[in-house]
Amino acid sequence: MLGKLFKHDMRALSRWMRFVVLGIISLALLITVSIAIDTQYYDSIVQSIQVMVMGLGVMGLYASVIITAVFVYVHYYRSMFSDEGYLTHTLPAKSWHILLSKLLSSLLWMFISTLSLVLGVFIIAWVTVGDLYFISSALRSIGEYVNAATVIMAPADLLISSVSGLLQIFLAITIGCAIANKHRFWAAFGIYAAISACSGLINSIFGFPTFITLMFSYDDANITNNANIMLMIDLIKNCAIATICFFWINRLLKRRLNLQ
Amino acid sequence: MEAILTAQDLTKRYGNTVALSNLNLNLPRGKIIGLLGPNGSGKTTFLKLAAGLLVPTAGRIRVNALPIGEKTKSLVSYLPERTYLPMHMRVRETLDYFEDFYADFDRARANSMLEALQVPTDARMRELSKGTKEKVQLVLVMARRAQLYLLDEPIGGVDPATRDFILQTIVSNFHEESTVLISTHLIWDVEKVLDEFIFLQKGVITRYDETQKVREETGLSLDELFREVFRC
Repeated sequence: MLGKLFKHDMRALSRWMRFVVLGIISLALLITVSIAIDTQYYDSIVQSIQVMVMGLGVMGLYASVIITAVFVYVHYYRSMFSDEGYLTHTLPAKSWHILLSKLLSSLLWMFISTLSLVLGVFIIAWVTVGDLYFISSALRSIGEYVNAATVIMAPADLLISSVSGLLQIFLAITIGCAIANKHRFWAAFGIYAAISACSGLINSIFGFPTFITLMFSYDDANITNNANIMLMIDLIKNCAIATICFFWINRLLKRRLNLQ
Repeated sequence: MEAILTAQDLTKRYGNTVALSNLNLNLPRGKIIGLLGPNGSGKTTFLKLAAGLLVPTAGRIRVNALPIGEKTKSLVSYLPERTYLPMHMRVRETLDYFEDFYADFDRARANSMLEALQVPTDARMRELSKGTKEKVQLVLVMARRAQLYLLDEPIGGVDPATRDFILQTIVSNFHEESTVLISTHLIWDVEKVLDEFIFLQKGVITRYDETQKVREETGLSLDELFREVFRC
């Protein structure tokens, strides 16, 4: 059942997300072409247009991150708590399967969108700089400060922090829709502000001591070890927040579903 | 035979408003039952509780002796009073969707009903009229071989000719293991197919009886009886 739910969620999200991905690639190509055109012998109007195109392109790339997030949250709200929720919640599926499917499909589309953004920036950098030496050089510099544990924990932390971030907003929407019949958006917004404040407090409590330790690290090995400890603590914290959010949402879907 | 749907002291409140109050009910299998009452009597709330879209404030409701959940949802075919299919979907995609999720969905039956109702299967939901959207939803719901059909105003938005088709579909789809619970205001149209009826007023059952028996006893049609009982 989870597989079927996932398939249909991916399909529903693809309606808009494919255009976001296409937009990112198009903008990257547009910026690349603008950079590649040598306008120094043209008049100031052409040069202004070139700068404007590049500026708008960069803004578009930034906006794509927000647009991706908005589409993911709108899909969650619509398929769970608007009229489409009547279809979702009458399916013979466990509530946690429904939630997991929304989470996995959102994550995958956010990953695809981020990947296309990275690819776009990579193309721009390649055309601008001319070779890829700077990337290998940057990676070598970072490599001096990481070990095997860092290589495993850094991507894991990135993944779990994305899951935790998504679930915090899903939780805010779910609580907002469970407690409010009208003004659901504002209810969800207020709850998200409260969740963010709690999450920020937890970040400060866990993050500050390790950050201070890292500041006073005296050699490379020490920096790596302390950075790994920071990553480990962040990973555990994000796992805990994600788990709490997941079970809380599932409980609300089972006990407080309120599709009026 | 065990009841298909049971409610015990079922209560649902929305804030301070009581939608259903201590409702007790056992619905038998193999019957077409009308859930009748004026606006705000709790009909839709009762159907939503049975479908699992609302959680009771107190009491309990069971389908096939099971608490509402994944298993009961595979036995219940629910038609809400609103359009709930995603507007971007084509009609044939809605069939794919139901075929994917419901093991009891009969695609051939759905196709033949859509053909009879002249619904274009390539059209997107947003391109269809309100009445045609309702037809699509009804076809999806009735093309399942469910044990309990919960139909909330199934004939409210369609023309009289389609009403006859829908009622005919309900009767022809009906088998001795399944029960159809129909909530409607159009009593005159449905009463000819109803075996039993429930009168609901302000969240309380005021009468649950056999349609034929009441006709013989009172000499009134169900529509006339409704008008008499719920006169403003």
